[in-house]
Amino acid sequence: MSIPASPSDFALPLLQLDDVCVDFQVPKAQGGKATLRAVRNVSLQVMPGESIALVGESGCGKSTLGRVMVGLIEPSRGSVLYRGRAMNALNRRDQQSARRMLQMVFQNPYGALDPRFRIHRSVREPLDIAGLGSRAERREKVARVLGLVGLGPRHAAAYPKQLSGGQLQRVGIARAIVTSPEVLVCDEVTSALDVSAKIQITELLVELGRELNVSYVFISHDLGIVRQVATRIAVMYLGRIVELMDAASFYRGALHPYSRALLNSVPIPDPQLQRDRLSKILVGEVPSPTDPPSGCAFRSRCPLAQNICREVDPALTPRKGSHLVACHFC
Amino acid sequence: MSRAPAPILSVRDLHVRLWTKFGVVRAVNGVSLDLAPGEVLGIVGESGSGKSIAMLAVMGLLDAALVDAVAGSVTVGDRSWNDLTEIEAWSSRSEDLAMIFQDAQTALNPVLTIEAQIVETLKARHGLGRKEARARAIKLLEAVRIPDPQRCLSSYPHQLSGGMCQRVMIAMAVGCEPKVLIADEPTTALDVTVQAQILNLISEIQRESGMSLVIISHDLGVIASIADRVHVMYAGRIVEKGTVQDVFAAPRHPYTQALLACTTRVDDEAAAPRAIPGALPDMREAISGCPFRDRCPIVLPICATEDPELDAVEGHAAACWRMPGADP
Ligand SMILES: Nc1ncnc2c1ncn2[C@@H]1O[C@H](COP(=O)(O)OP(=O)(O)OP(=O)(O)O)[C@@H](O)[C@H]1O
Ligand SMILES: Nc1ncnc2c1ncn2[C@@H]1O[C@H](COP(=O)(O)OP(=O)(O)O)[C@@H](O)[C@H]1O
Ligand SMILES: [Mg+2]
Ligand SMILES: [Mg+2]
Repeated sequence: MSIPASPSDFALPLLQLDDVCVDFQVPKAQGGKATLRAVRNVSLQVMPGESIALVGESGCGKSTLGRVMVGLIEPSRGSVLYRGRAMNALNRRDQQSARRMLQMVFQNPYGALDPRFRIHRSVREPLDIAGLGSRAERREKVARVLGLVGLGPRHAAAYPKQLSGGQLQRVGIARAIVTSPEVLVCDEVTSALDVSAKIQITELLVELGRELNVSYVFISHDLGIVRQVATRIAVMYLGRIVELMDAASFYRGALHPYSRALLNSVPIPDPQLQRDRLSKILVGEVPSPTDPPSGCAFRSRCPLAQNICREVDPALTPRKGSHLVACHFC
Repeated sequence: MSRAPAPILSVRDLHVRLWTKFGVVRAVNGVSLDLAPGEVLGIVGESGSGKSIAMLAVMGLLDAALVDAVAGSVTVGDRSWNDLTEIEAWSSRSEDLAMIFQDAQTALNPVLTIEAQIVETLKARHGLGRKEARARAIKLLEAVRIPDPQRCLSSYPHQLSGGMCQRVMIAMAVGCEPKVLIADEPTTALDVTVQAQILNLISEIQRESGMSLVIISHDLGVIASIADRVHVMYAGRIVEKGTVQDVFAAPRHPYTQALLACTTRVDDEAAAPRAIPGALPDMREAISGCPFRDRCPIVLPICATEDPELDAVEGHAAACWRMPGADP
C-alpha cells in the first residue's frame, strides 16, 4: 500500500466530502437540455469504523452520492478527500490504490458477475486486475474471503446461475472486500432479497465490519433494514441532506418533517397500530429534480410549510450534540 | 354462531406443476380458500412459496407453455370451473375477477398512450363508445387521485412515475367492476411513502365498491395495513390462516412465528430481527412430511413422515403437528 495508515491519522475521516454537487444534463421533453441537480451541496465525513446510512425516496441522489464517494463520478463542484488528500490531485498510482480502498456493492449481484465464470474467478478478478499477490496467495485470499461471507468450496466452483439471490449477494460482497478496502459503499444490497435473506446479509455486514475494520456507506430506502446496520443516518431529499444524526436516536428523535414522514410510512406488522399510522401519511410525490421548488425543496409536501420556506432554503444547522437538521420550523 | 355469507370466491385443492429449465416444479400443492363478499384477504410468504402462481391459476392467466398440470376447482359466485386448464376459462372468469401486478410500468403497453389503453379496456368491457369511454376514464383517474387526468391520458407509461402507473392499473382494473380484485405485490416496487398512499387508495376503493380483495405480499406490514384475514403460504401450501388480529398477535405455525421474528420494525417495539435458518425445500420433489421441518425449531418425529393438514374449521388454524388436537 502506498498510502500508509498511521496511528496518528486514526481519528481523521477516511472520506471527507465538502460542498459536493453533481449536475447531469438531461434532455427536456420539449427539446433542449435541462440541468438535473442530483446532489446539492453535500458535506459529509466517513469516519473509521462507522456505518453511515443514506436514506430517502428513489431519485433523491443516494446512489449518485455513493458513486462520488468511490470515485465513479467526478463531482461538478466541491471536493472529495480520501485520508485528507484530494482524490483528483493524487498521481495515477496513488489514485488506483485509493480506489481499491473504496469499493462498491450493488443491488443486483447477478448483473455484476460474468455468467461464464465460476464464482472463485469472479471473486479473484479484482486481485488479478490490481496485480496483488502471487497466484497461490490470490487463491488463498479468495477462499478466505468466501469463507468470511459464509460460502464454501462448493459455491466457489459454481456458476452464478446456480446460486440463490442471497448467495449471489454474498459473492458481490466477497468480491468487494477481497482487496481489503477501508470503505464499502453498499447500494441497496438487500433490496432484491427475501425478508430472511435481508437479515442474514445485514448480520454478515455487521460481523465483517467488526472483523475487517471496514466502514460502510449503506444506501437503502428500507429504514427497518438500515436500523440493523447504521451508526449514523443521513436523510436525503432532492439531492440535499436534510437531517443527519446518530442512528440510535433517529427512530425516536428525528426532527425533520420528511424524516418523520418516512418513518411513518414504513408499515409495521401490527394491524391495530398500522391502520392508525396509515391515516397519517405523506401526500404527493417527489417533485422533478430538474425543476425543484424554490426555497426548501420539501415545502410542496410539508405539513409545517410557511411563507419563508418558499423563499429561503434552510441550511443544515446543529441541534443537540452532533444532530443536524435543515428546517425553519424544527 | 351466525352463518358466514356464501363466499364470492372459492378455491378447492389447487395444484399447479410448472415446467422450468431445472425440471418440473410443484409450485402449488393443495391450496383451498374462501373469500367472503367485501372481504380483504392477505396472502403472505417468502419468495417462491407459490403465491403468484396460485392466484394466476385462479385467474386463468398461467402461461400455457409453462404448465405441466393444473388441478382443482374455482367457484366465483354461482359459477364453477373444475377444469382449470381450459384456455377459455380466462375470458369467462375475467368478468368477475381482475388482477394487478407489481411492475405496473411494464404491465402497461409502452408504445400506447394511457388513453388508448384505458379507453380500449372500457370499450371492450362495457361496450361504451369512444366519447363515453373517455369520460369514464377521466372519472376513474380522478378516483385514483391522479392530479391531472387529461394530461395523464395523453402520456406514455414511461412518462409517469411508478406510483402513477400503479394508479392507472388500479383505475383500469376497477373500471371493469370486478367482484374480486387480486393485487399481486402492488406496492413492492414503490417507495414506502407512495406505498402507503396506494394501500390507502386500494383500501378506500375496496370499501366504497364493496368488492373483495386478495392482496399478495411478502411484507407482513403491508398485510397488516389492509387485510381482514391472512393466509400464510409455504412451499405451495397454506400453513396458517386466521384474522390478522389473531395471526399477528399469536402466530401458531412455527413458520409464521419465524416470519414475524425476521420482520424489522421502525417503531419503538423494535426487537432485533432473527433470520430463518435454511431455505425453501426443493420444489421439484414431492415432499413427504411437513415441508418446514428442516427449518423448524420444534420438529417432532412424525414431521418427517406425515404432512400435517390445515383444519377445515373456520377461524384460526395452523398446519402443524404441535397444534393441540393435531394427532394423526
Ligand atoms: N415463469 C416461471 N417459470 C418456471 N417456474 C416458475 C415461473 N414462475 C414461478 N415459477 C416457480 O413456481 C414456484 C412458485 O413461484 P411463485 O412465483 O408463485 O412464488 P411467489 O410466492 O409469488 O414468490 P415471489 O414472492 O418471489 O413473487 C417457484 O418454485 C418458482 O420458481
Ligand atoms: N447518469 C445520469 N444521467 C442523468 N441523470 C441521472 C444519472 N444518474 C442519476 N440521475 C438522476 O439523478 C437523480 C438522483 O439519482 P440517484 O442518485 O440514482 O437516486 P437514488 O439512488 O436516491 O434513487 C435522479 O433524478 C436520477 O434520475
Ligand atoms: Mg439508487
Ligand atoms: Mg410473486
